[in-house]
Amino acid sequence: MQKNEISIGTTVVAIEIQDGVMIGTDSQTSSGPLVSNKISDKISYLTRSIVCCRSGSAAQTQNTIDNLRSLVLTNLFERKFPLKVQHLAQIFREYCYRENAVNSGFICSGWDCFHGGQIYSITQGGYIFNQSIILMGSGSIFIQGFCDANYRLKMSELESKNFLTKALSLAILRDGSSGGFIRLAKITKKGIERLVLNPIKPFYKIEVQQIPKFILV
Amino acid sequence: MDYNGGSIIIMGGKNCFAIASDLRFGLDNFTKGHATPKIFKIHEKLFIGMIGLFGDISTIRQMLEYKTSIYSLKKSEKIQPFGFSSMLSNLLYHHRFGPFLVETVLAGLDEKDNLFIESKDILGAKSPSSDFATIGSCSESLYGICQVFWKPEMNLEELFKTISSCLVLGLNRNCISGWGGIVHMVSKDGVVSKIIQTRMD
Repeated sequence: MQKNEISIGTTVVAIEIQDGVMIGTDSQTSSGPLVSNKISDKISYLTRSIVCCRSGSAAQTQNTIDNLRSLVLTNLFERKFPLKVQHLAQIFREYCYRENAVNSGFICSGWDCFHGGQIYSITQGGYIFNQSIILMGSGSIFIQGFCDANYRLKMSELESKNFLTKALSLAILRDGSSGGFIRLAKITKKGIERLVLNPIKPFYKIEVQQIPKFILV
Repeated sequence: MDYNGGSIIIMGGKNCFAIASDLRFGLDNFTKGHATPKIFKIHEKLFIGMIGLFGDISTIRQMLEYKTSIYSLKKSEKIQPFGFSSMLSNLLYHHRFGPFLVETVLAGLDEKDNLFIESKDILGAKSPSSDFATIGSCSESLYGICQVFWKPEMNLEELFKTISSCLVLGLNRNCISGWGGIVHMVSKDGVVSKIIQTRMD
């Protein structure tokens, strides 16, 4: 990777909820220490009910997604029923493995009528795995413990919105390359709904009462 | 230089100056703390700001404390900015071939309350200025921002507003500085310190 190439140091959390899937991301893209975009959208649409979240080098991931969108269209022409999330995730995996896409990670998630909401993570080099909660990006390591402690299977929509907001606010507070505001996406059989939120106050705005005196000498 | 991060601005006004820094303590992109200013007071009218490797910052601070204490014991008076600056340059150049990875910036008022602002590189080369000085990870963008907002002969209140808006503008676009700011306003009447709220991301 070239020095100061635009990369998405980021935080992405995707969880399965009662009627589908909910995904939260931050909104900052950085190029080295410089913030190049404070309002970026890291959730890319693949079909009407499947989205993809990207992390890693921005150029590589955008290129992969463009190629995959054309593959999706070719597949749609050949079949009569809509694409399964599992099938699309496997196309992703095969593409990443063959192209040897270094420094890019994806989360492919969505809702289909066969298995409901599903989340698949495709890591560097093309390993695919499926879980109910998946964390991705440079900021995800700071909230692993929080998610382990607070996540429960099949939460309701309100509970999962609170969980995602808290988790992302904590990651934005600690990680230098995550920032901006929180973007949420909910995918159910009705389609994709989007929401934009600010990181919540107790974690976001911390009052520094007193600087220790010895530091000023 | 971009490992621990941080940024400092100094702005000069009419027989007074303001020095501001961010409060982040981080290791690459991990923010460990948000109560670490990088400005140190030598005496009431002389402040030094340092950006770079935090270990070297602590070492230089302790060496300077020792040298200024010895000076004030021998001469029974506080060290003047020009003398202090030469002493610091000598200290930094002493390690010419294994330098401290620290950039420094000084601000002071001498006995006649004349303004003294100087920035140094890692080997101690002096670069005086009469208006403002910035160092740190976003120093290039801060130079542009300060150039727009600085006016000559400002008093302390205007200085505070200008320097805090410049600092916040610069920190918003930088990943490794931020998480709060502290401003010290210094004049012949004393030092006033204020903490400014910034985005915590």
